[in-house]
Amino acid sequence: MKVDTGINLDLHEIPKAVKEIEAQGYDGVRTAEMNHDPFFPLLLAAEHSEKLEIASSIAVAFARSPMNLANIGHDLNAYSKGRFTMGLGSQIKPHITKRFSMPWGGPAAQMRELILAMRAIWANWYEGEPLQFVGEHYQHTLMTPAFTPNDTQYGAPKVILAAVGPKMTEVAGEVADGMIIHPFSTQAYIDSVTLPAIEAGLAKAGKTREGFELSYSCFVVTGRNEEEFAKSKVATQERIAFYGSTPAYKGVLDSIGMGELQGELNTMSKQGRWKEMGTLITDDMINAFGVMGEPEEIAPEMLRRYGGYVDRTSASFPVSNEEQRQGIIEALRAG
Amino acid sequence: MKVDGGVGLNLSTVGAQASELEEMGYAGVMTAETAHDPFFPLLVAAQHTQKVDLMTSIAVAFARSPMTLANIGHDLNAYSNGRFVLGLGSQIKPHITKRFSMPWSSPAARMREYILAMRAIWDCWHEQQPLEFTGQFYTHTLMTPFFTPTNNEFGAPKVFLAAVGPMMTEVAGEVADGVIAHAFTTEKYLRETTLPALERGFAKAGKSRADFEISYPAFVVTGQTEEELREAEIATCKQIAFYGSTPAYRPVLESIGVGELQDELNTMSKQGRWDEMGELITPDILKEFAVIGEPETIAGQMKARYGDIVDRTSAAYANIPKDKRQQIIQQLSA
Repeated sequence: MKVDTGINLDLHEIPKAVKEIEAQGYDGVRTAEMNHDPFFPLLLAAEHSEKLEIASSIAVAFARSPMNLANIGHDLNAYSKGRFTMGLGSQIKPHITKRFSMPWGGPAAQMRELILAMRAIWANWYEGEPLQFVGEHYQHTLMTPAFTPNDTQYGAPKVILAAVGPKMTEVAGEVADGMIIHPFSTQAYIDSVTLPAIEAGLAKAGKTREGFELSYSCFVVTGRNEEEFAKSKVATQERIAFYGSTPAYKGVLDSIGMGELQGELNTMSKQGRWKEMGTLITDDMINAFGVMGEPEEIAPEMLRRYGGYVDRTSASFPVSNEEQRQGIIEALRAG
Repeated sequence: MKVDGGVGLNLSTVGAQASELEEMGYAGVMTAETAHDPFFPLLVAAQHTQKVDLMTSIAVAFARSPMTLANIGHDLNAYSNGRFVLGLGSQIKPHITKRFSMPWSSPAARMREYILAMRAIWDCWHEQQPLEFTGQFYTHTLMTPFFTPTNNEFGAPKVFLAAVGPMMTEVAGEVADGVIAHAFTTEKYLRETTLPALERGFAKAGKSRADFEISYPAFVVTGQTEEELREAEIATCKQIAFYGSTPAYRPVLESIGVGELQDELNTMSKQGRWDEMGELITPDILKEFAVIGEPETIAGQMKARYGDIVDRTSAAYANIPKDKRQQIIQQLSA
């Protein structure tokens, strides 16, 4: 299992941070799109590292034109000598329409088309295919030599997609090179919904699971002492409760027979009772959503549970020293 | 007059290139949006320079959401300690709709709203104003603390707008911090069309000319020998003829009384007679568009002609040696 870590940092801190991360043995660094451009840190990470894979996880796809994304993806992949992976997610309708002022269609269908549009643009640039992409959501039919990159040695970046529901998951299987499983997932949900939907998507495209990369960072509750452990547990309970209050994620709670909890959490969230919501998350539920235990137990347990199908993770572990961190990273990578 | 220099889009070499331009005395380094992202090179250039302005000239506004551009602008300005200038242009309809798959309509009105939308977003982030931007083309009404940058020390970047026609130029005067005039502009057009349009924009916004920068690249025909000068002249005539064949730029030719030349150039361009087209640019026409002479005379001519109206210029002076170029830059900047 490969191990990544997040670099949502001030841009000035990136060069030093990525050098340390590379020395610690991580395989890759990732950025989430929150209050900054998600690609700038990755450009600096590429410049200041040799081997680290760099990925957005995730960038908001519908906030951008596929042409812009194709250009960004090309540039980051060329500059990093093939180390870039474009991780995309849909966000939710109000953020696309009211924050970004961009169109929202049926998210799974729109995402499928957006990725196919990028691939059509890349095929035009790298293989000289004519650009004739006419879809329902996106149309790209104009390209001239002045706008065509010629540093094409490394080709297109990998594209991975964040998905929870079965439709978006199937789209990932069909048109993406990998998928990011949401931390708010249970083993039962992954077995009954995620993996079958990926298989269905792969089958549509005539692909196999080989080469399709699955990222999953389960919840981890651990600590070097009781205080740290308690803090980690409360934070995780609140996080699970927060996700659990989202109607779209009810299916995940259903997978462990707790569907009715969604309504209760949703009501409480509207009353702002966030702390209290966390207390509804039992130890059994934490164990269903992730791994809880002593620091040294975490990596072996993750490997036991997820080693069979998860290719990379970015769970973070509290450690006493760098040696311990490297031990965990090495154990996961060896598994 | 400040002098800006273009840097390429090659991310591996742009750092050294920007640093060299800074040493030579340039005030700013610029990228254009062609086959690559126009912002990445400026992030790299920011690392390798201390003083120069980092400018897009231009990035295609309508290819993006005002929100992603607000974010990019914030980040580049914060990272460069306030040196970023977001230079925007509209491009033309087929590129927006068929290349970028983005909406196009009434470009001047849309651009005005676009820049106001970004300013509303920056006011929300930097001045804690509520985000309630509901325009004809753009809607931005949702912002939460989670998506709000906190490194606000350098605030919003300056916004420059590329404009040729009077409507877009007026928008620049009203809502931008600077205008990027087209190289295909005569002195007469600058004085008789561009400046009055800017003044109308300033008046609308209650701004003064002193708060605003006019950037004008200017064609420069120079060389150290007769032969070099002649070569530069031919190349510039071809470029002028190329722009002159564009119907939208007819008013620029009209400013010097040769509007009808546009028809002829347009017809020839459709027949692919590019070399011949250059021959239609007479020495008199060339003089209206370009500053012509030996390297030692260029800065003086530029200042005499444009010193009272132009704040920054960016001719490349590509065919003369570095030391002569540096001299021109220093004379212009002084």
